[in-house]
Amino acid sequence: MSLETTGTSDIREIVTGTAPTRFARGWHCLGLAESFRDGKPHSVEAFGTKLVVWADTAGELQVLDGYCRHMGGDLSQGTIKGDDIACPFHDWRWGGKGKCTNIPYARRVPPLAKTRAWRTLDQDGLFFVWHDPEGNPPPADVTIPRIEGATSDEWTDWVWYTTEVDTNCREIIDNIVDMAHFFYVHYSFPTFFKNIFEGHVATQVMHGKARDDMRPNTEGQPKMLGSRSEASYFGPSFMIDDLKYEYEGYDIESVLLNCHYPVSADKFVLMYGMIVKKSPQLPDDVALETARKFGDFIARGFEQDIEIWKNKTRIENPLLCEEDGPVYQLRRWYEQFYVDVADVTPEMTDRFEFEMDTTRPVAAWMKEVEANVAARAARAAKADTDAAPAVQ
Amino acid sequence: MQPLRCSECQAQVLVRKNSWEHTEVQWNAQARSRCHELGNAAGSGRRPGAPVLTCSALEAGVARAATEGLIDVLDDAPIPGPILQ
Repeated sequence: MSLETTGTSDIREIVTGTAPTRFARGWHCLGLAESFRDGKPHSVEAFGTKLVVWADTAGELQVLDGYCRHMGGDLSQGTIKGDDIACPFHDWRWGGKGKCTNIPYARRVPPLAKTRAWRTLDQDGLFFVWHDPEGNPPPADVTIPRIEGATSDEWTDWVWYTTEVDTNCREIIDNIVDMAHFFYVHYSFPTFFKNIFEGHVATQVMHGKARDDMRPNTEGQPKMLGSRSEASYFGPSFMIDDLKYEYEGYDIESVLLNCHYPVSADKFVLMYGMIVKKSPQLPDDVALETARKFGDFIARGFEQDIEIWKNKTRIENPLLCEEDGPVYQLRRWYEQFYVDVADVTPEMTDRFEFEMDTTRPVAAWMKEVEANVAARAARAAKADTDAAPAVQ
Repeated sequence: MQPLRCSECQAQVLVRKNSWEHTEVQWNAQARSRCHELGNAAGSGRRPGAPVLTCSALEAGVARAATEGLIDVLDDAPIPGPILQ
């Protein structure tokens, strides 16, 4: 047998495909609204271009294309003058609606001096822009739901994280259906997993139990039992996760946001944030500290994802087993944001439900956890024996 | 996937069951508009715009159809190995 004669017909080849050249239609969160209200213009590289974000005199956030239509100056390097943004190149002034309002050295502003103004949404402390390659406004039913806790004294403020990821943003979308990676990459233990895609919303329901092999409980602290998560992407990039951590004796309620905006076809900015509900067990400061701890914990989770994404290939034809979630149906849903509205088909938006049979994964993972716990106990026992002479 | 009609509202959906525990349901607009539990518009769930997670009538109907053999359960063997306590 030689390599030359080996048949390759049964070899499964990866189809890598190419990342789409257009960017998704939808509301995209750019971060905490407050972070743009420091009296300076902000530069945001997104959707293959540059935007400028600033607050006018009323504190309202405005977004324009970043490059001045006069000679291409970078408005985000300019200054805020009154309600307008002034270009650093020739001081042309642009209002939040996109009109050139004043050219101090000119007798009059040329006709049709208008640049692109982006539709914005400032809600629950978060700032969004609407992106649509066709230039249409958002339909009435395409909204970002309110997050009641965000404006309530009974909840903490947002803890917020931002990081850049050098890959196409579809990788993070795939996570919606990827139950098994939660065990292998994030060391959690899913016991129930269900996806629902409908309209522009993609939902993941996941119940998990604590992993004693990876996260031993802190001595003297309440034991973590598990978590219940109900997470929905509202559109292509903004996920709200009602996430409850269950402890012996009480639960901790939190809202986790996971959102991103594309910088280019192979780069996106990933952001996530959390608020935690205060309770008798979690008064003000303790609740905020808890949110930070959960946030840091979730940050480690995303770092684990990023490490995988950095090294993996794009794959159009994943080879799936029955215990993988509905990757192809998810991508069919995701496709609706990359085609013109007229080309959105019922297959992309019709309701689809997938409830995972977790019996086999749970059985396999139980064994693995037990083996890890036993190995750790053996290591600890050995360390005790080895250390024994030194104690005397 | 196999067609199944809900006994509650007569919505016809497509169902696939890889095992007793796994269930996949594909709806279309006509079926969706018939369902009493899921709400008229997409998104009468816990948040405005979020879906109702399941229709209990259909869920019961799928389980019944599976036990009666009207819907194939592709792997109906019992699962070996330890069972979660």
